Amino acid sequence: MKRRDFVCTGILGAPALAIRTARAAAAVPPPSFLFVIADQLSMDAVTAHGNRFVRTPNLDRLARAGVSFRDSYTTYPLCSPARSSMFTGRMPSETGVISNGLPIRAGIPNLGQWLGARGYETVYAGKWHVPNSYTGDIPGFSVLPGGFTGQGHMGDAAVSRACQAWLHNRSSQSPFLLVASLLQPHDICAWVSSHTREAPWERMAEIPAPLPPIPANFEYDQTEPRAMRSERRPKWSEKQWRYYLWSYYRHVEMVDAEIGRLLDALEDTGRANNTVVIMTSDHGEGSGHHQMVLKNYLYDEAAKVPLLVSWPGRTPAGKQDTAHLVSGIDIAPTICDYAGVAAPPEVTGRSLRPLVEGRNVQWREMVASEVARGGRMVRTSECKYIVYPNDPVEQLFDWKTDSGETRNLASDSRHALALEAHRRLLKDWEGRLKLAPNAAKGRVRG
Amino acid sequence: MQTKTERRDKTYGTLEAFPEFIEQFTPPAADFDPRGAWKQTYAVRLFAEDSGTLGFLEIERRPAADGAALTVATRLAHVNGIQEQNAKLQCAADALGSLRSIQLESVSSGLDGRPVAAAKLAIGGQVRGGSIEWTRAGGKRSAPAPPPLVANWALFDAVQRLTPDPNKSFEFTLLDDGDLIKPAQRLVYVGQTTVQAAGGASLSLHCWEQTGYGVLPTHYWVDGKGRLLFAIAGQKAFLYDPEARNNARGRGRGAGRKKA
Repeated sequence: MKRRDFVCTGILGAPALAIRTARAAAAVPPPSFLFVIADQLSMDAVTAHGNRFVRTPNLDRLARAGVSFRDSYTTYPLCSPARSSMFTGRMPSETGVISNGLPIRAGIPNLGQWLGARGYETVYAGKWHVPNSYTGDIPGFSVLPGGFTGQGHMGDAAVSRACQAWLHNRSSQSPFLLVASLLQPHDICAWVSSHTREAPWERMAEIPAPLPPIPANFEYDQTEPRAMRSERRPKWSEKQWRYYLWSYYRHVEMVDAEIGRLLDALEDTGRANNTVVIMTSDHGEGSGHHQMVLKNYLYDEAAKVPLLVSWPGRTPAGKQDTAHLVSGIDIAPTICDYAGVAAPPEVTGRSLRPLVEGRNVQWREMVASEVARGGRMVRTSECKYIVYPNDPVEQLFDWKTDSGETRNLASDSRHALALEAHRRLLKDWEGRLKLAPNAAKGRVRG
Repeated sequence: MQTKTERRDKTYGTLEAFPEFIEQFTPPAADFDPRGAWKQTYAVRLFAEDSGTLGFLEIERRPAADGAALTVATRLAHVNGIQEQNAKLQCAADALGSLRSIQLESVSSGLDGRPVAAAKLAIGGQVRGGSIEWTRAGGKRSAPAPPPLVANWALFDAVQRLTPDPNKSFEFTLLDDGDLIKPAQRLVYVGQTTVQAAGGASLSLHCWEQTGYGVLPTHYWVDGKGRLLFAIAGQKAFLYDPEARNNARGRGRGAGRKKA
């Protein structure tokens, strides 16, 4: 194990000033955090979200005990960029992590550095990927060993085991941030790459239950931007598509089981009542919607991710929030809020705590996501807008009638006002970003 | 010889994903009694990667009047450390060797080989009816475990003792990796195949297939003597290799070539 030393000044700010006086006055000990990250877990691949073809008893445990944000979007449906946002509260075009394998740019603290400088023990297990997938050296964190790059099947078991052991062995009463970053169901990538051609597959497993059906929005907008077509590679039969879905759900169940090990350990060590559990994924999986697989595009199957916040006895049980548009940039400020410390400067995300607690707050009217090739997405309560630079095709979907994103209304004059409004929202939003040098050329408009 | 891409395209979760290994594989010649005492070692590999062997799994069986005792040792070299697990299982005298009790120790080490104290854990489990009572570092928990509860390592034993019968299936709850309970599992016999092993020798293999919650279809390949030679699930493969434990000593790093 190696812990990087750092000085509590400069980018880390002045801890004494950052701690809220309210917490000291109330003498309430700050909670600990278990932050669980899955990789490639779609919003709808969870039983608690209505999927009858997958069993996720442990994700359901979290959903039953807390709040599930159903309009939760990744900042960028790709591993490294999304993770950079989770740990900094800023968009990938600000962190500089605009593709896989890039580091968070200097001067932006990650959550481990920030909370570590404020009295938290900060521990990381599993996939990091900004820049290295697995490493023993993550700034601001002690690192527990375990994990294989690109292979979650065996690595996740070691990651959850290390976290389980750490929780059982820990004697300190100081608050902690434990990150359990699991890789499944990401192994579906290898599965897909093994089944891409039309050539006969290896025999399908003998499955007694019916295969999942293909999704209702299997057909897609034929006029979509060229860049949206990158993951529409397979030419499978209906049965093959359904078998792919069946296989994906088994990958999902694998990560669910590992999450169960973590939740059991929290309960068995008596820490559950003082630990906020936050669970999310870096991006989703195509799952046959729009005949897509994998990620790195802006349809909801890739861009929408589970986001669960649970603190037994403190969070409303079993609440599904469908009223607020939330984002991966909100995770870091949420953790800081519960910890009673100010969020790092220039964080653009917002704490979800008021929403979790059901407080009446003014919330954002839009959420944005970025993607490769400079693609941008704006979601409002009314519409979803997608655009790529150097591509004349824009997409506008009416969210009230077409949340499956199948009828592009961008060229329909009856929706010209909505189109213009979403263009303007995007332009204003981009104008507020403090772009990393390597991201400046990826801007769409303005 | 297939290219790596061609191999990926057709062979996920199959024996053909490891052609070099199979082509050089010398089937064990000694007689084998799956119901007796034995010790078998497997190299652990990942699908279609050039990472070679990542570690080993060794299972030793000792028959007892009321079933069998299994001693399990495994060591895997991860990218940023090493994980070792040792377990002792008491299994019942039924078809799948359902679990009666388990004791497991897990320890992780950094790349320097030094154990990480915070990542060391001992687990005990005792099956009682439809549940298992866990003891972990002094903490206790009882969890539902619909019978029969069968450990993943015990399946390596069970498939060696089962008679191939395509009309029979076994339903069970899986105890995966020592303490993960995965219900609704099914094991069926799916047929026989022949592969070309070292020197072009034909090797006839029976295949059993496991499916269920939280597992990818797992294929167990058993030779004519009843010896389990290969077990493959998704990206993960256990390949019979008596030298795997010796070869694993000193390895410090696992697979790390893909960028995901």
